[in-house]
Amino acid sequence: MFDFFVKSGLKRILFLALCWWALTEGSSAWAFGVPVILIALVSSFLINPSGYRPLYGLPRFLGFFLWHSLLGGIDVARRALHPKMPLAPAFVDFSLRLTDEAACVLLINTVNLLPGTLVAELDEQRLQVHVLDKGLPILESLRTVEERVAALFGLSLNQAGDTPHA
Amino acid sequence: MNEIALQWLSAFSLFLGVSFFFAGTVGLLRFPDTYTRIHALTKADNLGLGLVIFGLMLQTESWAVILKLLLIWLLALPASATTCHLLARHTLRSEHRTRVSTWQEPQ
Repeated sequence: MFDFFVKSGLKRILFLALCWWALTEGSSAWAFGVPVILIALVSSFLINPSGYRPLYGLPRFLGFFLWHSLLGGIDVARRALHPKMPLAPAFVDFSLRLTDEAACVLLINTVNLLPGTLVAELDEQRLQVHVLDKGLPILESLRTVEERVAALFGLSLNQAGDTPHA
Repeated sequence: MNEIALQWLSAFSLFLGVSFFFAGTVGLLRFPDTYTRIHALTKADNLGLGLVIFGLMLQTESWAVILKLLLIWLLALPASATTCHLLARHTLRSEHRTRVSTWQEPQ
């Protein structure tokens, strides 16, 4: 137990010191920095005492995320600047297989930055997604995001995906 | 890579970033309802911010400044994605999707 706190604490101190170094642009005013880092360390343990799960899939997920947010930005910019403004907005219901809370939050944030999708409501296991164009393959791309997020967190989606193909 | 190529790449990235901000603003003004406007703002602006930050990263020699710019972007991303979800949710709860379902595509 004590061992865990020392290890986890050292990692957090290292991370916070790196952030402080970046924030001060390398001038490193440590007379202010050390108290700030200590306060941040205490609040970090208050918020999350149990430590963070290692995310080995992060580089792959980041690549997926960056590429799709690029596509999302280009798509919406094209629709905005196009003289005819091609939009066919609609709501799509999507039943979630993910149950983990952190994974759901990441899923929502990712979907919001994907091409033409926006999560408007999250009930128990159902997302209401607003889409810019119902012609796009929405459900397929949502399934892909869900699988990617599950893979990132090392979760399995075994509760048979009963996809309502609308 | 030589200095001049780096400067050009930086200028190009900044210019592209600003154009996405412009496109996002055009979308905000032209799109028909709240949801579509949120689409325009969050997606185009995130990409614009990413490109502007990438362009600025190329101009500095200090690793600390590069990391600081990266931190700004990493904080702005979830903030904007969360804000857009909350705005959409509030709109949905207060107007019950009446406008969207009656919106017909022009033939």
